[in-house]
Amino acid sequence: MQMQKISKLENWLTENTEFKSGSDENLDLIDSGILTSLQLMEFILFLEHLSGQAVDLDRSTMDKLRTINLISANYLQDADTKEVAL
Amino acid sequence: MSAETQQRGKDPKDSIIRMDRLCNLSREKSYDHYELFDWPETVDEKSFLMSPQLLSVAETSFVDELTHEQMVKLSHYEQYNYSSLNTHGERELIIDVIDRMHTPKYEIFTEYMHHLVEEENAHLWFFAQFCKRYGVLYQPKKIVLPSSFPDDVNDFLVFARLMIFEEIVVYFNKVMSTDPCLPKIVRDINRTHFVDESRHIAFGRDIVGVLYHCINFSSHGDEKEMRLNISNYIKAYINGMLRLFYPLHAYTDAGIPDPYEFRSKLMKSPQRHGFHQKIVSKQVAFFLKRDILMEESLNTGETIGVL
Ligand SMILES: [Fe+2]
Ligand SMILES: [Fe+2]
Repeated sequence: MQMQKISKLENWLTENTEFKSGSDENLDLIDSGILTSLQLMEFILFLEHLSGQAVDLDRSTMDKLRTINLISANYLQDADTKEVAL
Repeated sequence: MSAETQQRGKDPKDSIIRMDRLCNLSREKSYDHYELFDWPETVDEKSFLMSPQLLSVAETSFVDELTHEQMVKLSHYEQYNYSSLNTHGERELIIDVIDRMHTPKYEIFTEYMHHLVEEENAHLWFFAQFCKRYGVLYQPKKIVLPSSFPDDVNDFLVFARLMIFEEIVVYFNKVMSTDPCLPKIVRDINRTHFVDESRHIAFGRDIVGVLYHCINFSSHGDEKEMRLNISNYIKAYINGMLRLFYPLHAYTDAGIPDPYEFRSKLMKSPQRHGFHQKIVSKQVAFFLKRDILMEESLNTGETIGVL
């Protein structure tokens, strides 16, 4: 289930940004310029749709979205294994 | 305007004359926003709150798929989205304007900036009032990352963003200010906003041209690359603004089944792209004429109006 979600996430990034499929899952999506301010809203809407949960926007949100691994740990964990990673 | 700015910029006399005229107009047209409107107790749930031709479903097959009741309900939530955008969108943009008042670079513009801020303060108040009295004030879903552009480019972008936003909302204002199928309060708010914004856009066109001229490209590395980056940013910003008119939260509140899918289909409808291009055509022409939007960036990557 989680793997499927991660691959959907990667597909979205490939279709909508400069992200290359197969990139390192620890690649910083923000520092590398893959996710820009202008794309973040669309990305968050997609992530909420994919995860079925609201993404709260506060100062810490950006750091939970930096890499595929972080996104996966913070938003795409199956309910029983969920833990917050930073 | 500082000597350095004058040297690189255009003749400031034109701007001084224009700002003077705009200040006089603002004084002539000033009003007390707390007293201006007659707020009805309620708005009729059975009538449209936003003009049907401005709804995000207009000209698509969804118009035939949705019932009349669904369309009316959608018009209510799209109106609350639109009014919330005016509140929060302008609030965010004005912060950057206030930040620049009474600094040397903005000397000839500061007097008018006071009028602009005062008028935007009124707009924030009446759009938020409308949302809170009759429906919902939506909060923006947004994270702003630090800009990677140099300061003088950011100065230009502050006013370019404001102008892009204003030119889009003015299109909506104009239609709604005379639409007989809308409640009087909606027409009144939109007429008031339309009149004020026409002056803001005149200001925007002036200052945006001047500030682009003031960018010291020779100190920012490869000039062509910087110009192209700015052009691509403008393009992406216009499309980003257009996406805000496809509000997922409003679709959810209007009871649209599978709102995410609904939104994606709407944004991809070719019928919508023509509408987008129509409402941004004037600003695109403005940016193209000044080579701020470059043909080279128009022909690659995303297309303006195609979401
Ligand atoms: Fe306004
Ligand atoms: Fe304005």
